[in-house]
Amino acid sequence: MRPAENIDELIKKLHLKAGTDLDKRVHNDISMALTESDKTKSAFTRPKIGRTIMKSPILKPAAAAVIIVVCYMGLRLWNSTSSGIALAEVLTRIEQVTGYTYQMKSATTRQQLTGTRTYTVLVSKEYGIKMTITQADPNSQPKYETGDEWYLLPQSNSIVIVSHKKKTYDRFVYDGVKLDFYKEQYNEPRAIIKQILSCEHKSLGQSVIDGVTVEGFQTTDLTYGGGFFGEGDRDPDPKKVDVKLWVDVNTFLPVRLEEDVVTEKRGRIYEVSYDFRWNVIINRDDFEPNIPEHYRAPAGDIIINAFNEENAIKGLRLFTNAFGKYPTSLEQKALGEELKRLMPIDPNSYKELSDEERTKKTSELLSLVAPSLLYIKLLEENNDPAYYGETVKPGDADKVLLRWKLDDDQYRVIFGNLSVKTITSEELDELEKLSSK
Amino acid sequence: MLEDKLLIWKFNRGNREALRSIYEKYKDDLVTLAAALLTDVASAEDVVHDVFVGFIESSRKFRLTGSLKGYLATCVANNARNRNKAGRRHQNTETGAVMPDANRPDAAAMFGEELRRLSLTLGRLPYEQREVLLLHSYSGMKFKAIAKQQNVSINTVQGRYRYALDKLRSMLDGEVEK
Repeated sequence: MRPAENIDELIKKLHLKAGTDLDKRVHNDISMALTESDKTKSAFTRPKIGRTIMKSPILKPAAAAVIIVVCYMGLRLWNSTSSGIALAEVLTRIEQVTGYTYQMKSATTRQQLTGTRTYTVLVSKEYGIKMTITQADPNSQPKYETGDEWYLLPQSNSIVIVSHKKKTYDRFVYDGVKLDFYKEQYNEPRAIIKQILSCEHKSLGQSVIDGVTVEGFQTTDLTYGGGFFGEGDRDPDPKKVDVKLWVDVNTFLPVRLEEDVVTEKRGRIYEVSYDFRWNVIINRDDFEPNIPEHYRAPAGDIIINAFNEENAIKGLRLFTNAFGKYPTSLEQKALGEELKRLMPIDPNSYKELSDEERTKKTSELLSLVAPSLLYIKLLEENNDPAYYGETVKPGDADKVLLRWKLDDDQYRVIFGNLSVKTITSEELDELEKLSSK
Repeated sequence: MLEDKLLIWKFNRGNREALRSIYEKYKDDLVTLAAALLTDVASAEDVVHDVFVGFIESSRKFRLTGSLKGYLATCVANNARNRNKAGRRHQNTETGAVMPDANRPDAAAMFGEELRRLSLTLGRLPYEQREVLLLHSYSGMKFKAIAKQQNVSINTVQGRYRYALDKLRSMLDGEVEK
């Protein structure tokens, strides 16, 4: 007797080829049907998908629900609005590309960052991102030079910036911090699409760019926080956000990305990414920073520690050892000003140091700001942090110096003597009354 | 699966090449399935043609919820069943053979002795059993989906599958009791 599997295998081997007559009939039908469809279409203006969705009383709540689900459940949903489906698919499609390159033009009008720049960006799924400034406005601030190179290197978890004109480089080594979140600051399309998907967005319908039929997507959601090297989302109250992504309808890959953000205090940032070339051959050497031996690192290697409890305590201890007190505030700006006051740094003093000594000194400085980095992370993650450095003194074993929420009823607390404990919210209430005195 | 989703996305937007790609991708499988169901190649091609005419007409409103291959196989099975019921199929009563005659030397050459016997014995199975067996074993459809398509319980589908397998096995082993 033949086992069932054998019969199954045998059945799978059945194979007939469709005849040429059938091919002809079906292809003719396809051509005819589409010719009819084109005639019908030409008589009417094709409504834009986004407009149709928002005009329909039935679809309005459906679209809103989809947006909520997309935001709440994550980014990789297939079943959303027509624009949501396509955009999620674009993301999936880009994930399959191993290497690509594009041009990016940026124009900024703000206090500390002005001017226009053009970059060539090379992205490798395996090796990271390389940006080369191909044209820089000589009056821009800060002053970037044509030829400057920026590398985002996930394998070594580092960012390297090389200035060939100044013959200097900066290497930021991230210890325990994953660099993925920096990708969106580099306007990497995958990260930008995730951002758009997490925001309210709509389809712009079809258009043609440089002879390519594209479909557009747009978000004007003020919560959009991608791009601009982290500058775009610094101002918590942007007045205007307008991000448009145009995708080739045949390849499903981006053709053009425009981001325009206007903020109350910091002015306007406009960036456009274009001339995308997909599946280019990637050479590993492209992601080896080109640093000639005689180039110098003004601050040595800059090691960024993980934003965690352990490093925050180390930083607080270092601060009390150096200054006999805790930082008054962990707000980034306030801490920076306090450090400047307590420990003025003469940049010239760095010049005489060896590379190792410069790295060590920079690491010490960064350790001092580690509590601030943890505090910012806790704020961003809504962990209800509170800091009492103004009233708590080193050695205050019963007073709460820094605390944050672990779950509904539990808080993690760093005390004035730098011991750590997990306590309930009732216990915290009692302790905080002491800390504020 | 992703490729199919992309094809459907383009198909919904009237992309002619997407429609042609779908046809080219699945035509042989669908013709084979229809031929195995109807034991007749000419009718099988008519079935596939009908299915694609319907598919073209659904262009802008079509939404894919499962696999495209499963969807098209279901369409073929439905169309073939209707033809079978209406008695429109060309029954090859002499042989019951699924596979073609001398008009299709290319196809005939593809099948060795074992497959030729299989095609003959498939034609002798009751239609419902044949349909379950082919949709499950050839098109890879789950019993649950077949039950939905045939509007019967999953137990009935599993029973038909077992009976079909047993009969086919016996017939192929030459142990069949007529």
